[in-house]
Amino acid sequence: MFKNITLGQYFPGNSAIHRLDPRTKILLMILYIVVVFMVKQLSLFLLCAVFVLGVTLLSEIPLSYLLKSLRPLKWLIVFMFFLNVFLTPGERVLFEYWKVKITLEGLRQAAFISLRLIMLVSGTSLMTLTTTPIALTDGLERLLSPFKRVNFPAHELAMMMTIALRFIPTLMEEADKIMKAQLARGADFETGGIIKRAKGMIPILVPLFISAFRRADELAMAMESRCYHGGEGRTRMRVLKFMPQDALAALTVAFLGILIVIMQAFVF
Amino acid sequence: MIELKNVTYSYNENETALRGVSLSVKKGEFLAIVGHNGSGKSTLAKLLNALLIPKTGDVLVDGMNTRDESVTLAIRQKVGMVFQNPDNQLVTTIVEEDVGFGPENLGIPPEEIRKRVDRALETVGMSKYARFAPHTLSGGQKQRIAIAGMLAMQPEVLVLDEATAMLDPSGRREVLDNVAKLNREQGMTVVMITQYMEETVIADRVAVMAKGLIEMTGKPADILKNSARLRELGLDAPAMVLLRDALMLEGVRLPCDAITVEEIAKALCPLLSAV
Repeated sequence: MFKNITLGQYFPGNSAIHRLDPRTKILLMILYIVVVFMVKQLSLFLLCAVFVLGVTLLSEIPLSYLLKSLRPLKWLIVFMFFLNVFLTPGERVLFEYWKVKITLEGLRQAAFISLRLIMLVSGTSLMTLTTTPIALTDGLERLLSPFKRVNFPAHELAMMMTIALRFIPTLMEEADKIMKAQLARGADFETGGIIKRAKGMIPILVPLFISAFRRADELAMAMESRCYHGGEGRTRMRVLKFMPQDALAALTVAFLGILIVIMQAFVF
Repeated sequence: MIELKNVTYSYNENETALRGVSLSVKKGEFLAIVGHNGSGKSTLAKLLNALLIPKTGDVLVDGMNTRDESVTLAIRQKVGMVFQNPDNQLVTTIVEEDVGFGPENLGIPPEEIRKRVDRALETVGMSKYARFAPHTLSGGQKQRIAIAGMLAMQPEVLVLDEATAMLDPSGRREVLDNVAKLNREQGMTVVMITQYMEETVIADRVAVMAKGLIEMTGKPADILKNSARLRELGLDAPAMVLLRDALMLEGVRLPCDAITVEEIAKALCPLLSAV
């Protein structure tokens, strides 16, 4: 049941995008979000689309993978689309029937909001598709470490994420084992209404929690044995280093942003 | 190397886990501590690297007292500990990063960590798996990674706290072979805690524990001479020793320090050809 779960949505590869510093990718993702929010003209989304497609090609990720990341949001996009179509006030009426009125402004607004959502999700997915969860954690820790001075627990957060990532498969396996053990004792997880099924999960969750606490205890001991004493004075084996490619990537996104600002100021 | 002086420990008021243990571990020695459940052997292990502090008595590692908090990290660097459950001692999602975890905590420069990690993985024969995720490995492989994680800290003593108890026979073999090799070839001091008498035959010296006390110490062969006493202490002699004792009762003359399959076979073969 839990066998084929993948963590995050990392797509293994060794492309130029994959090899970028995770810090670069996180920062550029934020910049990209800002750029997408700056777009005020429908046609300028074309530039964003070209950018997303270009990065996708460079990262050697099949386009279908990118579309897959949009799938969980399809209802939200559809909902937002129709909400805007019907609720945007406007002058130029295209279609009217009883209280339902579709205007050109409404249609434009709806297309705008949906496109913005699509651009946001596909652009940010590119980051999670090309970066392993552990590299992301690493990048986040380093980006947040300047805030340590104001007592922000950057190292602790990263450590927690690492341990969580490490133990999710282990606990999944264990949940599977417990489930089989309970099935062998005649437990029934398949039939009955939602409440009955939820109740059926209790015999799985209780042993799982107990074991998770025991594991935590042992892990703490093992970490202490390996001289773990928080982030202080700790070095890292893998050192992140900004490369010329990172600058190039940053320039590209900055160029996209500037282009959009200029186009909006002068062309439209 | 390690010196225990009349150490006692209790987890709560009513029961005492250790009732006055004195023991010394020499440099380069392979010491096995054997005892059945509740004999206090795991408690003893945790006292060796300051995970637990004795109630009375002292534990000295290279002259450093485990009571002294300022040397706790130095002690833990010197005394590497491998635990029972292979899953619960690996911290990160990639094998080589896990091996690097200890040296990272010690604040060693990155290039040096890299070297140590590669060397440690090679020593335990796991270089091929450097980029694997721990949960895809077998139990024996995970324990070897845990050992590598300790080696990367360059300890002087390796303590195995029932490190083979959760492994299948082939995994157990893998781990024991690795440890024996480390002891023989690199002169690593090893303290192996186990409840299986048959694992102790590869040690230089065996300490038998029962009810929080050390009942016997000696060479494996000497300890195994007395299988009746072992049974009293809740331990089973290995199959080979039982065979030897049974044959001797039937009047077959065998050397009473023969404890491994090879030794018994060597003693039996001439007898067979004589018949």
